[in-house]
Amino acid sequence: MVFMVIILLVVTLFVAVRIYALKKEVKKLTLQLHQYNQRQTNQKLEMDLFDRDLEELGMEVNKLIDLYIAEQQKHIRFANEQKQLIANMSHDLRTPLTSTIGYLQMAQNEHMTSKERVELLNIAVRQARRLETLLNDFFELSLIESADYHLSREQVHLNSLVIEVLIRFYDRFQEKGMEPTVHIPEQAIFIVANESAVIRVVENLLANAITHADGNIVINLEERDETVRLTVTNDAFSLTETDVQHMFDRFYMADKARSGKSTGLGLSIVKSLMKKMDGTITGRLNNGQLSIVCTWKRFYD
Amino acid sequence: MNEYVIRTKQLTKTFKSGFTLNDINISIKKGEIYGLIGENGAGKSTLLRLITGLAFPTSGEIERFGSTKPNMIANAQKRMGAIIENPALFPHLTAYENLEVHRLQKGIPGRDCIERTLKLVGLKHTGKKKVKNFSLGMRQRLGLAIALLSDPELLILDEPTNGLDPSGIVEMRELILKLNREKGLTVLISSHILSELYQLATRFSFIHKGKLLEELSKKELDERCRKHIRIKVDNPARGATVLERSLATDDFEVLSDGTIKLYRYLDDVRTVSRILTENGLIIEHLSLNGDSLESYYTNLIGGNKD
Repeated sequence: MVFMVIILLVVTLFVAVRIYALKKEVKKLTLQLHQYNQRQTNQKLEMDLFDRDLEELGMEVNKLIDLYIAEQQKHIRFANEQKQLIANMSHDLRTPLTSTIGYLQMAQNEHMTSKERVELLNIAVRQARRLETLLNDFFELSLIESADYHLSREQVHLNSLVIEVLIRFYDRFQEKGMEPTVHIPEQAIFIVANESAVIRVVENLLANAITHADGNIVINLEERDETVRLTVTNDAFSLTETDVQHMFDRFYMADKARSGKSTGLGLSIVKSLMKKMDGTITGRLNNGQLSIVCTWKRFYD
Repeated sequence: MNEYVIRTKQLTKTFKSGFTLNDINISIKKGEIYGLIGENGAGKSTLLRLITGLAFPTSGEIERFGSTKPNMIANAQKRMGAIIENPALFPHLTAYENLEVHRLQKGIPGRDCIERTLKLVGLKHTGKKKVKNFSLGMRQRLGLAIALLSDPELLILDEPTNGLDPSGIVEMRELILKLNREKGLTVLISSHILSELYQLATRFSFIHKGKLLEELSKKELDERCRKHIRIKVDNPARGATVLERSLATDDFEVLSDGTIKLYRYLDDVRTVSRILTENGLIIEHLSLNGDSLESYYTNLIGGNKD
């Protein structure tokens, strides 16, 4: 009998101590969660690891915290990108706008022959057109990048599409005295993509090559297992690795002189379109040769 | 939540040897990668030790996560992960076991975090290899893993690239950037090489002989390190036109206050000035600004030699 009572007492004591420890631990966790919910800390839960079940609870709560932080970070990143974008935008619009105003002010000058005035106005119009292109590109890019912009997928016959675009660029190649080398296989290549988006991609890549190429341009189309690759290669001796790393960034222009008609948005548009079509695009610099490679999924019947 | 993770006010630490860390005021915002640059012996490690609470200041104040109370140091330490000098490792244990010891000591629920952290720092495949057989670079990575195990809010790294090979340095840099981007991790990192931190940090401070010489953002640093002629004229629009027509360049920018930054004709400021004047513009300001990154740093330190 006495023996029984002692055993009972020991068991009761053991249970009481355990309950006390568990309660203490729960209180500690509650306090930590409270501080977390008050946004006083981003610290994850810490605990004395003596109970498996409680440890698992802690682990799951920490996963929840991870999720929250990832979401919060996404918001912060998005807000920062927007801020950066607007800053870049006003920055890139201001310089051409200022000089346009300058030309118009000069044209207002009364002591000026009409020939001089026409010349100044022509420059101002050219500058204003550039601003217009910039705004259009910018608008297009914002549209493509918005989350609810979807491209329909269809079967696209890539050989004929590339050739059609090349023919349209014939004059511009001529103007620059360029003769592009084109490798397009005989057999028909079909990809899963959006036709008008692919046209835009090819156009922008060619326009980019024509503007920046120091020498000749090579266009290569090939099939590789599941994918189809379109490669546009051109000489670019003045380009650096850093340029290639950043060339898909908005407003990035390798030649800081910003001569010509480029807006620094063409390749960003290409990249966004490729992303929306689940394709990939990469740039590589090899012995002064820039290759931009686009890959799409092949179409199977 | 508090915007600043760390703030120091007139922080001073005097050693018997006579070396003093003098009157340091820095503030590290949440989400920043803060680069601390100084020569060997400038006081970087001392400052980091003070911030982590491993040493105590002679005078001045340190605010950690918005609190200056001494009894909150332990709490703040839980929210930091740091490698200062050599991380303490158990040589007879494997990488996994080392992390398990730290997990138990810190009370982190679940073993998942160990696998995850080992993978993050690139030590997943070390298996049964004991730490005593690790290379210096692997030890550095393990140290980083220990610092990251509890998902800290502030990561403090003292010369983390010591002993790493070039590809290891690139990996470490990318890892820090990734953590900063995805988790909003705030990082305080020291180095004696500015160019090493340049690609990583968003804010820089320069320490020399125990004094803080300068604290500036990446943007301000870039500003100082790209050579340009700063021009302010009475009519910026006219100014822009004159540059385009008479100097035949469009490598310039117009800032929102009408200041023009010209990146050409750097050796020929006189021509620029003459042409602007000839076109009837009144020059309010004209100066050559900027330096290369290295010469900026050498000048900064050189100008403060005793």
